[in-house]
Amino acid sequence: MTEAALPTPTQIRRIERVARLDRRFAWVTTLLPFLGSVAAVGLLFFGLVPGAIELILIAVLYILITGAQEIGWHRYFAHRSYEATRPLQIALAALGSMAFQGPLIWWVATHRRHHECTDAPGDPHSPYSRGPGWRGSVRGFIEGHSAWTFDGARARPDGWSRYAKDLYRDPVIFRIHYRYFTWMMLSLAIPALVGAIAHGSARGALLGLLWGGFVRIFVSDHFVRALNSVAHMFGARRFDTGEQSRNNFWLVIPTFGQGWHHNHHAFPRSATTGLESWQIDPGLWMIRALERIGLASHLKEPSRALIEARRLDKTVTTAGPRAA
Amino acid sequence: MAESNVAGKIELASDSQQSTTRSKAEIQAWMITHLEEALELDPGELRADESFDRYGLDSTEAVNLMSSLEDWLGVELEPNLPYEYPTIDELAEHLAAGGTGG
Repeated sequence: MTEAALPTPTQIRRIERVARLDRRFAWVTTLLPFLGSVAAVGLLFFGLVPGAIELILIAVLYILITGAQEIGWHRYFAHRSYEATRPLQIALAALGSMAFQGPLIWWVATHRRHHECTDAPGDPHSPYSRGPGWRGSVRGFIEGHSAWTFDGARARPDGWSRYAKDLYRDPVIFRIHYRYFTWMMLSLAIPALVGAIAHGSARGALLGLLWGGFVRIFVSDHFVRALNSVAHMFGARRFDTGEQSRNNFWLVIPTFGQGWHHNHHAFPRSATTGLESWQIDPGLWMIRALERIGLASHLKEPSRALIEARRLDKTVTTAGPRAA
Repeated sequence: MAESNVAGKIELASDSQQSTTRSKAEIQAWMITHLEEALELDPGELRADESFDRYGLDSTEAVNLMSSLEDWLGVELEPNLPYEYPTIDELAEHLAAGGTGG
C-alpha cells in the first residue's frame, strides 16, 4: 500500500484549506493587538488617557501572563527544567494562554523544533532563513520575528504534533490547550472588567481593554518575538553552540530573563538563564518564590565545570552569520 | 424532589453503562465513516491501522470526534483519547473494552 503514503487530491485540498485558515488566524492575532494599540494611542488625543489604575493593570497582567509564559510554557512545559505541582501546572498553562502566542501544545512543539535545528533548515523561525547579505538579513529578521507564523510549512509542517506527545496525552493540559479562544477572550475581557469596576463606567472598561488588553498584549508579544529575531542577531556569544543565539541585555527584563538567550541555547534544560552572578534572571526569582511555597521543586542548573567547559576561548560579539 | 433526581441520574448512568457494549468492529466502522467526512477523505481512503496524525487530525477535530462518540456511545470520554490511542484500531479496541479515560 505505497499509495496511502501519497497525499490524494482531496487531502491536498484539505491541507491548503487548513493553511488558509492558519494564515487568517495569524492575521487576526498579529493585527488585533496592533490595531487596538493604534486606537489606544489615537484616543489619547481625545482625552482617553490611562492613569494609575491602567498602569497597575498593565504591570500585574504582564507579570502574571508573560511571566507564566516564560517560566511555565517555556521553562516548564517545553524544557521541563524543574518540577511543578499539578495546581501550578494548570495555573501556568492557563495564564500563558492569554499571551496571544498561540495554543500551548503547538507553542511547545514549535519551540522544541526550534531547538532541534536552530538557525538551520527546519527551524520554524530563524533570521538566517532568507539568504545572505544585507537584504537577506532584513528579510530574515522579518521572517524570524513575524512572517513565519503566516507560512504553514514553517508553523505547522507535517508531523509537528509528534514534538509534544507528552502534553497531548495529558487530559487536563489538553483541555486547557483546546480552549485557547476562551483564554484569548479572557485576556481582553479581564482588563475591561477590572477597568469598568475600578472606574465605575463604560469609559473605564474601554481604558482597561485598550491599555490592559491590547497594548499590554502587543508589547509582550513583540518582546517575546524579539527573542527569535533580535536575540539571534545582536548580542554576545560565549559558548560553542553551533547556532546564532545571542545574550541581549536589553531584552532581559521584559522577557523575565530570556534575554540571556544564548545561555538558554547552550543549556536549554536549565531552570536559570543567568549563568553568572551579574546576569539577573527575574524568571528564576519567580520559580524560586514558587519553590519556597512548595509549588516548584528540583530546579535543574548546569554545574560550574560544565559551563566553563563549553565556553569559547574568547567572547565573540560579531553579528555575522555562523562566525563560529 | 432531590431523591427522584438522584434516582434518575442513577438510571441514566446505568443506561449509558449498557450502551457501551458496542463491538470493536461497530465502533471502527462508525469512526471511519465519521472521520472520512470530517477530514474530507474519499471513501475507503482512511486506514484503521494508520495514525490519526497521518490524516492531519488536529485537536479541534479530535475534540469533535470524541464528543460525537460520546453522544453515540452514551458515555463520557476524555477528549484527548485519539492521542493516547493514535489509530482507529487502538481507539476502537480501547472503547470496546469499556475504557473511557486516559
